[in-house]
Formats: sequence, C-alpha cells, structure tokens
Amino acid sequence: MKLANKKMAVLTAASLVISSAVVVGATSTANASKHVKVLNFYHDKNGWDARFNAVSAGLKDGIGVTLKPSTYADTTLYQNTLNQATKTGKGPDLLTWWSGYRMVDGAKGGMFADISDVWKDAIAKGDVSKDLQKQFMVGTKTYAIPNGVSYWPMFYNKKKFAEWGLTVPKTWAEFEAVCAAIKAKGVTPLTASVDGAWPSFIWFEQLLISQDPKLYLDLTSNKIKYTDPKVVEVFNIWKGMIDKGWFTAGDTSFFGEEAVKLMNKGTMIPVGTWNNSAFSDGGGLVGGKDYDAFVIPNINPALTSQSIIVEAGAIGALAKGKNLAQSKKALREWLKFPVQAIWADASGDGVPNPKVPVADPVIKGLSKYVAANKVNQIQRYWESGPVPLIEGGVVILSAFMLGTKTVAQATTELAALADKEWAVWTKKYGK
Amino acid sequence: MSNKVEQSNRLRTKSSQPIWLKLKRNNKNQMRKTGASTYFFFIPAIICVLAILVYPIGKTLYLSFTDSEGLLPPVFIGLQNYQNFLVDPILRATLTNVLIWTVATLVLPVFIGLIIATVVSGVKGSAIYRMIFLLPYVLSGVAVGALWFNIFETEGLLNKFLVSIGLEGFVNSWLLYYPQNTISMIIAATWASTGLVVVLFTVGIQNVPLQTVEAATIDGANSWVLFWKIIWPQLKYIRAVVIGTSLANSLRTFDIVWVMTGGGPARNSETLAVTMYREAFLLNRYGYGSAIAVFLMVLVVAVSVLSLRGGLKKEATL
Repeated sequence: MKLANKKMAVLTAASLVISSAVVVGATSTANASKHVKVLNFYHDKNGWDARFNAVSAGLKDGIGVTLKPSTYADTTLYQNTLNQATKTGKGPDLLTWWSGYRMVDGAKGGMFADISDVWKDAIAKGDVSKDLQKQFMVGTKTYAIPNGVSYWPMFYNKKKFAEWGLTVPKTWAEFEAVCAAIKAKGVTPLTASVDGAWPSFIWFEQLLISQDPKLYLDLTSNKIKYTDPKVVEVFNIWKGMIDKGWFTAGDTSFFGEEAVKLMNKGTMIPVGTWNNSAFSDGGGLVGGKDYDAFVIPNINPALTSQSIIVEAGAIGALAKGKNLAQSKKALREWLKFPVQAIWADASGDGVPNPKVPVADPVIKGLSKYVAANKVNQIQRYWESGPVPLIEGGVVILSAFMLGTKTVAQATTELAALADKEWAVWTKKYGK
Repeated sequence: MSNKVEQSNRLRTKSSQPIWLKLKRNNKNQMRKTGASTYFFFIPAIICVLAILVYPIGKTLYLSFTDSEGLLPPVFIGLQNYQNFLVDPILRATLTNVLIWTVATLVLPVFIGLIIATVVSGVKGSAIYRMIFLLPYVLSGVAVGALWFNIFETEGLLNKFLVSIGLEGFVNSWLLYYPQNTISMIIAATWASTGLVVVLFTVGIQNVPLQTVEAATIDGANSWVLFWKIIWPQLKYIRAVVIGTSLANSLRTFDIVWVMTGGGPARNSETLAVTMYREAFLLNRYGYGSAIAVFLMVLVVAVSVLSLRGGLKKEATL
C-alpha cells in the first residue's frame, strides 16, 4: 500500500511536472503568437501582393513578423504619401523605393533608416554581394536592401523564331537581320513605348551600352554632354531603326496581358525580368520552350564583352517608423536564404542572395550566360541621375521617338537640361 | 416691367417697408439679444472654413514663396517661383491647351446639351432619355479617361472599327500627336459633361411658363421663333450657371488628361492643373507647384466671378 502510495505520489508529481511543462510550453507558444509583429508595408508594385504575402509567411516562420502590404496604384501619390509619412512617422514600417540617385532626397531628408549594420551582417554571412551595396548607399551609409535583382534582356517568342527560321542574334548585324525578317512577316519586331514617358529611356540606355558602356557611364555621370558626337551617333542609329518601322506604336503597353499579346505575335520585348511572370504565370507560356530571353548584342564589334542593364529595386525602413527594430530585423531576415528562395519562386525573377538556386529556366539561362560571358552589369538610366533630369529627359526622348524632335533638337535640349539640373544638384548636395 | 412692380409690391408689408429690410433689422435685434451664444454656434462652421478652405490656401500661398521640395525645410525665396513660371517654356503650351479646353468644353457641352434638352423635353418618356444622357456624368473622370483611352489608343476600338469598315487610311495614333490628342480628350470630356447640361437646361425649359409659349403659338410663332424669342431668353439664369461651371471645370481640367496622356507625349497636352501636379508631386517641387496652383486659383476665381456676374447682370437688366 505504501509502495502503491509512493508510486502514486511519484506519478502525481511526474504528471504535475509534465502538465506544468505542457502549460508553460503552451503559454510560451501563445505568448510567441501574441508577439507576432505586423509590419505595415507600403509599395507601388501593382499585382505584387501575392509575392509580398509569400515573403510575409517566410518572415513569420523566421522571426515571427508578418507584413501587411498596402498597394498604391499611382506612383506619384505613393511618393507623396511617403514624403508626408517621413515627417509624421505615421505610415509604413517598411517601404519599396528606388536605388541610386532616387534614394538621395529620401536619405538626406530622413525618410530611410540607416541599415548599414544589416548589410554588414548579410555580407559577412554571404547573403548578398558587396558590389550590390553601393546602389543603396548615400555617402557612407546604406539605406535599403535589394527588392530582387532584375536583368533587362530581350524577351522573344522561341516558337515563332523556330517557325520563321530565326536564331538568337550574336552580332548587331544578325540582330538587324532578325528585325528585318520579323518585319517582313508583317509583325512589328521591337517593342517601344512612350506611355507614361518613362519607357522612352529603355532603348536609349540599351543602344548606348551596346555602343559603348563607358559612353553611357560618362554621360550619366555628367562627364560628357548629350551633344557629344558619340552620343549623337547613337541617336542616329536609333533614328534609323525608327525609320525602318521596327518599333511598336508609342502608346503600346508591355505589361500583363499586353505583354503576352505582343509575345504571341512574335514581337520582341526589351524589359526587366520582373516582367517574366507575366509570360509564365499570366500568359501560360513555358519559359525556355515557348519563349526565352537573350542579351542584346553590341553595336560596336570592337567591344570585348556585352553589357546588360540591371535594376535593383529598394526596400527600406521608415526612419521614424514605430517598429524600427523589428523592421531592421525583418530586412535582415529578408536577405536570408529561406525568404530569398520564396521570393525567387513567387516572382520568377533573380534574387541578390547567391545561395538561392535559380529555378526559372529563362532567368537561369540568362544568369548562366551573364556569368559565363562576363557580361557587364550596368545600372538603369532611371536611377542614374538627378530625378528632375531623368524625368525631364524621358519627356525629350519621348518626343524624339515620336518624331516631333530631331536628333539635333533632342540632344541639344537634353544637354541644356543636364547642365541646369546638374548645377542644381551640385549646389544642393555637392559633387 | 409690370411684373417687377407686382413682385415688388408683394414683398412689401402693410407698413410699406420692404420685407428684407425688416428681416435684417429683426436679425440685428436678435443678435444683440442673444449675444455671445449666437457667435458660439458659428464656431464649428468657422473652424470648418478655416481648416478646409483658409488653411490650405494660406499654406499653398506660403509654399509658393519658398523652395520647398517636401523633405528638407523650405527656404523663403520671394517671388522667384512666379518669375520662373512666367519664363518657363511650358507656360505657353499649357495656356494654349487651357484656352482650347475652355473654348471647346464651353461650346460643345452647352451647344449639344441645349439641343438635346430642347428635343428631349417635348418627347414622351423624356425622363428616361435624360437619365441616359446623365449616366456618363456620374462616372469619375478617371473612369471616363480609362474608357476613352481604350477607344483612342493605337490598338483601340476606334482604329479597329475604322479597319472593320474599310477605312484603314484614317487609322491614327490619336493620343500621341498634338493637337489631335487634346481634341480626343475634349471629346471624352464632352461626352461626360453634356448630361448635366441637358438636365439643367431641361429644368430651365420646364420652368418656362406654358402661357407664354401658348400665347406665342397662337400669335403664329414657329418652332424657331418660339425657341429664340420665348424659351432662350428665359434660360438666362441656367445659362449663367452652366457657362460658369463649364468655365471653371475646363480651366482646372486634370483627371481625364492625366489618365489618357499624362500630359504627354512630350508634355504637349498638359493643362495648367497637370503642370502643377507634375511639378509639385512628380518632381517634388512643392514651392514651384504651389506658385502654379496660386496662378491657377486666381485665374479660375477671376474667370468664374466675371462670367457669373456678367451672366446674372444681363438678367437683371432685362
């Protein structure tokens, strides 16, 4: 009986310990779920909520933080909302923005929190390349992480190419021959647009880097003028292509369904790889089979390597945000393998974390080509100069594309605008 | 004349004092009696006016004298923004567009609206017609812009229709070149705004006393004479309102332009409101944008006041 009592006492004690442990465990789980922070996340990327929700799930698994994405359909409104939020601190915890020159006003004006420590740790752990950091730096501080890394190749319809007996061009002459052949089939070979003005820089930057990447870099850093004979030569090449009727109408849209329609016709589309999912998910086309992408060949045959435009969108933390510590933690987590893998899967695009294997066949092929051929990766025109210069520049480029300004008018006006806006910039921020 | 005397007599009391004067005196006496409590009830209204009207205008005026760019503290620069705007090459293009918009959106909706109102008001089931014409008016400018963009874009419905009826030669990039892009947008705006004009004119026509129409008919007036001599003069009040609102709306045209062309290509379809928006919100030049906003505000107020005063004055002299 005593033994029985003793056993009973031990069992009771054990059950008490176990149940206490269960209760403590349950309590701590309940506490953890109570402490899941919801971070307000503002962005202007229409149709990307699914991607951000996927990231949110990854962040929840990693650090118990979720995102509440809010989409702004109008970019101008978005920017102004964040300007107001910068002053009041009322608004998002995390936000998307643009890298390069477009970050400077926000960084100097107190919009973004300094996240240099996030980068330091991420670089040390091999989650991101140091080369990429400079696109998000203003002075010595870093203010954002990359929101994916997108190449700007030429997307083309692989089946149509096969049907028309065309192959991916390796030289400019071959590229011109491909364009001429597509035109002969009654299809406009190349997508171009001035819809919203900004797409006018696509062909401008592309032709410049195909002619000479140094020319592009010198021009965008104000070392040479837009009236430089080499720049004028590029404009003349562009004009020749316009005159041949190789470009689509100026109000062509190349996003979503419209991109798929163009692709199905056989028109080639120079666009960021962030638009890849429009073909694969939205259009139901199979990457690598129905469509693919190639690096546009050099115009100048003397160049030893090709160049491609790279766009790295930015995600930063609002400096006056209520949950700054959590926001920085989330940004660090965002760069880690699990979340980056989720992003790669959800977006079908490239990611900055080199540990993440690229699954999408088009992006995989492109990344392989870029690495194998040591293709120069060059920052987009949109992020490569003071905002008023770029915004004013695309207006002039649009007029040139529509034929309402000649080469001489366009280059002269661009040069005058650059002189004016660089002077303003230098006065404001120094060189 | 006799009508006016009769009306005036009706407004007089037995003590031969105009009723409005008596009411005014009564109000003054009432105010003296109630004192502070009366003014107390004005406070919410005053706060609303200050917050919604006076503060934004005052702030815009203040910003127009600064170099405000949004994030950094603004620096006072006097009249520099106004001087810059007056020599800005875009000013000429913008004002030309505003003039085209003003003339076109004044003439077209008023003219078309008047014709429709006149024709429809005598027809059986006119309320249904009026409702049909009013439908576009209830759409937002953004929706109207999006709808007409799909019609006028190069791959749009209009060009497809032209091709389908064998008129390939007329296919055009309607929104890409000037001035056809502005004309296209004016067509969209006319479609959207005519409905309200129809309703207003219909109300005016319905208020024309039947006796005068019957008397003129008995005197042998045909439809033309009936319209110009009897109905048209009695639409003066409505006309003044329609013209006044059309003028103000055309001067501040923004949403349709922003949606259909964004003021482009190459800024050639910008209106003053679009230029203001672009400078203030796209380029973050709040100071410069504010100066344009003040310029636009002065223009709209001046033109509206002149138009309404002119329209109503003519009425008073009749």
